[in-house]
Amino acid sequence: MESVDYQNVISDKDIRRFPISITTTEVNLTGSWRFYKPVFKEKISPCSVGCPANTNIPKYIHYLLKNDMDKAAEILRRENPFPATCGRVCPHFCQSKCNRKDYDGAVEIKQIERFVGDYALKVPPKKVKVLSNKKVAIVGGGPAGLSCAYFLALSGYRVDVFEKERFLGGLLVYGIPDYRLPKEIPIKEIENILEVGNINVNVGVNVNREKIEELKKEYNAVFVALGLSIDKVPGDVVVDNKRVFSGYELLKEIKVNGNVYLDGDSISVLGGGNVAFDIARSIRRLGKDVNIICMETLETSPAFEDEKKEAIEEGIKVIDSRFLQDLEFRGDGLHLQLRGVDKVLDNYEPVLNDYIEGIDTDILIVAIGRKREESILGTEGVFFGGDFYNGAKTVIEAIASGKKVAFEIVAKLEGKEFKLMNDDDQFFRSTDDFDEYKVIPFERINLNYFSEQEPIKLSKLAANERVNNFNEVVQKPSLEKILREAKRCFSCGVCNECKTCWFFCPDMCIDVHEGVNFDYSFCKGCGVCSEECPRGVIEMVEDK
Amino acid sequence: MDFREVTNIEYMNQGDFACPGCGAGLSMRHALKVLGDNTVIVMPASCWSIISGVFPTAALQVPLMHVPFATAAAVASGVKNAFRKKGQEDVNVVCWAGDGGTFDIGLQALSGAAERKEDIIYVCYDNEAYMNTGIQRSSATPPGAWTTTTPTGNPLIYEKKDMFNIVVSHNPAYVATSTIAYPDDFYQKFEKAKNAKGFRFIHLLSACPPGWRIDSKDSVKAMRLAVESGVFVLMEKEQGKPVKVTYKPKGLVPVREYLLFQGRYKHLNEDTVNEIQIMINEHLMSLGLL
Repeated sequence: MESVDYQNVISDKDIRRFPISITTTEVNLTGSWRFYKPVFKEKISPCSVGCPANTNIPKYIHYLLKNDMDKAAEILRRENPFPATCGRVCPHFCQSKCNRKDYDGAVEIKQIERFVGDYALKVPPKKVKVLSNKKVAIVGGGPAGLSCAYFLALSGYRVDVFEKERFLGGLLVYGIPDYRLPKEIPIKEIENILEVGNINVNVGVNVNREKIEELKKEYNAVFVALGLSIDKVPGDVVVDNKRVFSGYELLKEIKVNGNVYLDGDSISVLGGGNVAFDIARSIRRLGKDVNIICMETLETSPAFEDEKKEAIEEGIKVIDSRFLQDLEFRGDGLHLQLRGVDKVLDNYEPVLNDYIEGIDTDILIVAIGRKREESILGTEGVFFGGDFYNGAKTVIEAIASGKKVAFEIVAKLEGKEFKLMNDDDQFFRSTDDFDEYKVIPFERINLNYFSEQEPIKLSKLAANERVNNFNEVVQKPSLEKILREAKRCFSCGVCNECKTCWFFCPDMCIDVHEGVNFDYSFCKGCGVCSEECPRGVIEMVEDK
Repeated sequence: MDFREVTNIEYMNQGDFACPGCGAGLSMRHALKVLGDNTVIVMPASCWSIISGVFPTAALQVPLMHVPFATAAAVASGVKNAFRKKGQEDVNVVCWAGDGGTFDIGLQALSGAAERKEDIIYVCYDNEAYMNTGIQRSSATPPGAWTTTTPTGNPLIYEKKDMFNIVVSHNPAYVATSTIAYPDDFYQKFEKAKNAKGFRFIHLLSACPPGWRIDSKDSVKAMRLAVESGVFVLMEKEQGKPVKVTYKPKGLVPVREYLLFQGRYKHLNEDTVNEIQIMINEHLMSLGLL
């Protein structure tokens, strides 16, 4: 023990105030009392399990609230090179897993992602410095192919992308209408991806089976993500581009030219998916009367709920539970004979009933789905992904598929084994930014630190303001709204430096800075920090 | 409360002798964050006499005066008046006493100081028994609780002494009850006490893991449950104003939940728990909370 130098004890200040012992109790290393010790272990939030790309959502929300937008954008783009696009068109599976869902409503992650994503548009990712002499060919420049190219380029590989169309982007650029996704957004994000370097783009190249065989010889690995390229058409219907059109082709034309000429005012769209609703809403914006004919009921049809709701608001009539039995050319128009549908089986076969209905229409647009070019599928020794491999899925699923394949290719070329971080949840992140794979359940959240607060309401253009133009329907939320919504995030399993542990530590052993640091010399191991942590980041382990 | 905005300055040193999870140590840490270093602590015999360390070491960075059990308020009165004579009116003189030194042994000195309207802050950290000497019952021990001197439980007729109203009847400047499990409430009340002039009294509920027979990690949870179940009501009274309940639990937690997770109540049978619930309900009704 330090001896006390009484000469120094007596200063003017002490005489004026009060006698005081000046040796501190820090000579007692109370850490020796401990049986259990707290450890900092970041875990997995349920939202990031819900996200097919497994984005670390709480982490980028944390940096958004810390006003470190560069870091937020970086974290978001670690897992997904298309955040601004996904902030608009992704159905946000994450929100349906949000722990806050049953408490006071899921956090509006979509709007937060859009906000951070829009910021990220202006900050291109850093150029990679590592360069490998290995080359990878990517066939298909849609979200899956580009995502694969991005992650391969980040890992230092040289990538050649082959795209059939004049521009990269696939459905993002050619398929999703401007009122949902303005085309400059994916175009800018693609530019950012190319900023990484090492990516060589070949547009206007049609790749068939023979070409793939050639690529296999020339490149160390080949990734095929051609998407779905062939329209499905009901049995006796022929797309003649006069009275009967393909929804996909029309969408592409509208996206490129902003308009399309259709000879007639009453249009019927066949199909119940997003494309059917997209083309119906696009045609509606060109001043036509549109109805949608689908086999499913409106509630069970596969389109996103928002799409259905907004379509009906815009005056589109949905004729649901109907099957197109027959089509007849009558004068300048068409006569459609529809049968009632009781239910739709899992293989998309309808169970018909006796109800028959006839409707007259000028033009029929077919949008009942697409299929892939089967002849390519058999090729051995190449990687497949995206919609081409998984069937019609969402943008984020294509991105996630491209990312996983990129790391599979990296593992293969480096002679390692590719491993998911969790097989049950198909969990994979490009960076290992957690300490333990454990999904935080609602019960682990300490609700005493959260008061109930409604999610923000989206501001949308009114139906009459949007039916005659292609302006984005969902308006950009204000910064204030976004921050309020971001603060609602429980940040499950991810430290957001709330300092609750620091506040309740009776022994002053906690320092919160880029995570939680413990002073084990004095920590008595009481465990209050672990119990009070609102988000399950601190755990007590036996101290040997 | 945003804990990021709480000051980083500590007036307490590491290495104190508080048990793991001690509510009293935590309360002192935050009380000093509000009161600042222009503070003198007067301390009768209590757990804190031990926590503060052995001479010449000290757990506090402010002057601390150990005084006999019965004399905290009297000594504090003297200290404050000495400062006043020296022209140092602004020093916070704080009595930091346990429930024994307040409810039982220190009561007459406390009453005297309150009656003379001495300009001191009297903080009672109430862990509901003489914990330091081995968990003997005090008049702050709640009905039903086990202690080493009430091995079959504190008789139900021994209601916990109503310290809040005893002090209120002296008409002091400020009286409040609080607990560190409610940081907003705790900080606001200490701020108010610091800024008021005259006799100020704060009654803190402070969990004692060994004495309450709870896991040290549940210390803050226990204090919170006491409030959520209505066992301990957070209230305050400023001079000339009516008693104000500062926190109304959103939905009262059944007292059973608070009692039965503590070892000191584990011997209680269903009937006794119900009787205690009725006592709590009556108290809450008298405050207009039920």
